[in-house]
Amino acid sequence: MRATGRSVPFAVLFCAALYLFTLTRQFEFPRAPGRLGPDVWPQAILVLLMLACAIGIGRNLLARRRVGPQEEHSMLPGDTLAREPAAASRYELVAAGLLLFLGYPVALEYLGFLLATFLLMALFMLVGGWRNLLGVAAVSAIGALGLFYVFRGLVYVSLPLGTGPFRSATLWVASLLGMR
Amino acid sequence: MPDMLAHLGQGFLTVLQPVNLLVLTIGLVLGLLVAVLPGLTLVMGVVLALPFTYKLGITPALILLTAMYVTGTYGGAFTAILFRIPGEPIDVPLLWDGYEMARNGEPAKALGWTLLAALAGGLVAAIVTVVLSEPVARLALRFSTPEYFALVLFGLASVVCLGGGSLINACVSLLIGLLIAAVGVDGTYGTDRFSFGFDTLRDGIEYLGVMVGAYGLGEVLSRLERGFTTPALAKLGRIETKLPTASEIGAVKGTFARSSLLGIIVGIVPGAGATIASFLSYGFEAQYGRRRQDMGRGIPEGIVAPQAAATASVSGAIIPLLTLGIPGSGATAIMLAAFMLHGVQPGPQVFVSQPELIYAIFAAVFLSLIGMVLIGYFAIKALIKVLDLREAAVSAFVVMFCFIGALAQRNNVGDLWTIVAFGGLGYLFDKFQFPIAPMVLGAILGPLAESYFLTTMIGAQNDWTIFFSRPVSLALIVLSAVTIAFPFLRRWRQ
Repeated sequence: MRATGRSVPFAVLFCAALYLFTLTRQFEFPRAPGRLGPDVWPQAILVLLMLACAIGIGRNLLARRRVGPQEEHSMLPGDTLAREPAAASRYELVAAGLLLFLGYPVALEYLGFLLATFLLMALFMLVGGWRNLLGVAAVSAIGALGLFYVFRGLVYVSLPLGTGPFRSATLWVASLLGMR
Repeated sequence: MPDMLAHLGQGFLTVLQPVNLLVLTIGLVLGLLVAVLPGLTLVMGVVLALPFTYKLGITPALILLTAMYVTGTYGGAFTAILFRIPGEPIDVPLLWDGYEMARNGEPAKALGWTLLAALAGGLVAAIVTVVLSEPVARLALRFSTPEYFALVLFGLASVVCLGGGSLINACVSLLIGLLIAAVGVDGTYGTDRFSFGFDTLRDGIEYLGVMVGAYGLGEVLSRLERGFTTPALAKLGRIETKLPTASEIGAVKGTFARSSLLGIIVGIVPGAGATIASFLSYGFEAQYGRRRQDMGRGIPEGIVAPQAAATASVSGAIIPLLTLGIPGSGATAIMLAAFMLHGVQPGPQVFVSQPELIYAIFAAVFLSLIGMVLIGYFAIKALIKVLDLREAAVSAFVVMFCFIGALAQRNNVGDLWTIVAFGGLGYLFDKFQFPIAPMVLGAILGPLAESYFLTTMIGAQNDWTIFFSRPVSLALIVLSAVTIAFPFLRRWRQ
């Protein structure tokens, strides 16, 4: 990654820390002279965070001036071996994965655990590159039913049932599995 | 000593109860599976198991996590030696001599050395842990808030400096973790901090969401970015383990002793852990070992050194967790979370108030080592079959475990947003090479650090020199400063 690119997270964090620092000045609490308030601890963290970010930006800018790419020094001998050979980054897959994760809590409320889980697992496997539709459907169905049975039936986790017809369908499946 | 043995005996009886034994066995199998699968790391596996321990009592919960932790340092050796796939970063040094020995036509012998090294390192470390823990806890009982603050500070400094990679990135990660812990209504004044009007944030951010999201979903997203590229496995014939003979073991007894000791020491230091123990021990053997010139050519010393140290580090890491409440590694940070989820703050007081729990954990380490050997010797061929599973399918289940884990804590669908947010953050951390462990530890230890700091300052009428006027506190602060300064000095000298 280029030095400028590596500095972006530090710059963003610096700005965020600065903003949060201004918020700490507005904390409401009974101020007593000579007594530390609830703002001191977050302020100390934020000042250190801004300092660390400034050093990070400075380090990257200095590295940019040097000839040739300067790799980060690793504390671990052979650390690079621990990483797998780099494959091409496919950001569209990450975006699709994140969208699925974001959609799951919404789907869970309306569709209930069974259907939402089946859909999430199936779509995730398809996004992940498994193109065998029968295999994907079978694993998703077994996964959704198995997890539902174990966590609702045995561990007693209150899994969402959904609304309207989805709720009825979930309850029907639960009764088929011998759950109340 | 008699008390210690009596407590330990009681601990064995506790773990040998049917339910606990079943939980231990499940933990052993899960730990091995997690270690075998390259897509799942040991810490990630322990994190995913944590939410399912809510419904268990604290003892079985900790038995489960301990068993997973112990076997998690061993299972990856199989894939490293047989397929040249390190299941965990811990197993990378095994590629050098373990895989070479297998290539030289002795895979069964390589597996035998691994098994023996894990057992020997683990047992030595477990005995040292049992003997050392109570005296350390007695010493810690004399500590007051300045010492505890200095201790937490030392733990956080070590996490930053020993975690590998860039020091600044680790610092930023830690500070983000501490900031996450500061969100919500403050316990002393009732002041709303950084909640932006959201009720969820007013309650504070649960560290469980941070852990599950960053380690679980974050890792899945990182692997998804590379398109779940699982390497193809070589076809193998018979998989068996052949134990070395007594004379062969005698020839490397020095390596066994050195590596076990090194593993314990590295484990005790907060922030280090099994991976560093494994690499350091291999490096030590390559530099000072009797057969250092042959390292990398498939010799037993190259297998024993990393494996014994890695498994020994487990017990080493348990010492600061149980005696001081400071986790020594990523996995013990999760165990700390398990304690706290069940309303118990580990530390010297637990040795007085709940010795049966502490000794049950010690007994679980011993029994896990024995179980690990039995499963490793007889059933590993069946476990290795999990490598045939599609990574997309395994990851789909990991995602589901993350979501159910978050849901199980409070039955609140809103908590799922937290883990998705931290999943995204975990992915970005991986992308920009920020380590996750300091953030997680910061989120867990942040409230403790703040509370010790404020209590000390209030007690000392804001006189900050109190931290330097007490010998233990001063020593720990100096140690923290040295820990932070050391990497800079080393780099400057280079």
